[in-house]
Amino acid sequence: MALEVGKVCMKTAGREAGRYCVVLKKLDNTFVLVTGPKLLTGVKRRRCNIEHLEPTSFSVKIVAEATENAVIKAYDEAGLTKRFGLKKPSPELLKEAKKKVPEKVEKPEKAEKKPKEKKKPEIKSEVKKVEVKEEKPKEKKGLTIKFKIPSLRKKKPEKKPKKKRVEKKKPVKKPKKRVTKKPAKKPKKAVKKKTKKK
Amino acid sequence: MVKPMLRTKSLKRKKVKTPGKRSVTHYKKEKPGVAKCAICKKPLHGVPRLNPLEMKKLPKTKKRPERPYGGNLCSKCMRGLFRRTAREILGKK
Repeated sequence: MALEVGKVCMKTAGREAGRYCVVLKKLDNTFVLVTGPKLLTGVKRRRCNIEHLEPTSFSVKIVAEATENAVIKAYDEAGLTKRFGLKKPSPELLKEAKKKVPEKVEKPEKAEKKPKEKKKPEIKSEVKKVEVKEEKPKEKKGLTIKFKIPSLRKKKPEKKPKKKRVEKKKPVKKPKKRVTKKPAKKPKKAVKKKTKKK
Repeated sequence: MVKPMLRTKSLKRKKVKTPGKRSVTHYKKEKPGVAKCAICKKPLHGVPRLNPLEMKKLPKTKKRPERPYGGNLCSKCMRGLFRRTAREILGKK
């Protein structure tokens, strides 16, 4: 399974989409316990569906169900706070976080769905092959949300030509029918004239 | 004669036959178009179709869904964006 303890992921759904988080524990086949931590990235300590996470290549050394402060330290040791461009929380906030006991997250009662897991890796491999060919030149430095805007602009010109093709096809079809009718009539007339002359 | 207030061209007219078989024109304000996704052009959920003045009166949370790119992209396209950034940009060490 790709989502091990300490794996750094990006959330892809809901109000926390586009933010980083760390996997703390595997609860179920579909659910996982996750924190940002909230002081660093803004993701609350909560359970999360696997399908709403996208694993990155980074990981952090932590114990299962580690505290928030331990995760923040682990981020520093791995050098990810600089890499992601995150702001460190002030020491006062860190002291407050120590006092608070992390809330227990309840396990979901729903039945486990195994086939969903198997689908995931297949999709990744397909998409990676296609995308790498199209957009190879990309900068590595900036990892903030600003990056996603250029990819938006790239997509627009790709879609416009598709529409034009559809419009061109329609006028082409109509004249074809007319052309087929006209030649069919002409030879008949020609045949009649010949018969009259004879 | 129509009310002078209704003589503007900004209103939409519609000819209607009344039950007494008179033909009457009805005047209506135009509605703005549906908000659409910037990438896939599908209509967006959670964005009301109101005149700008009526939109002003709504709270911010009722004007668009509360997630990044809410009101500009549909949820599918937004997910695709973040999936790609996680794989491509962050994937290269």
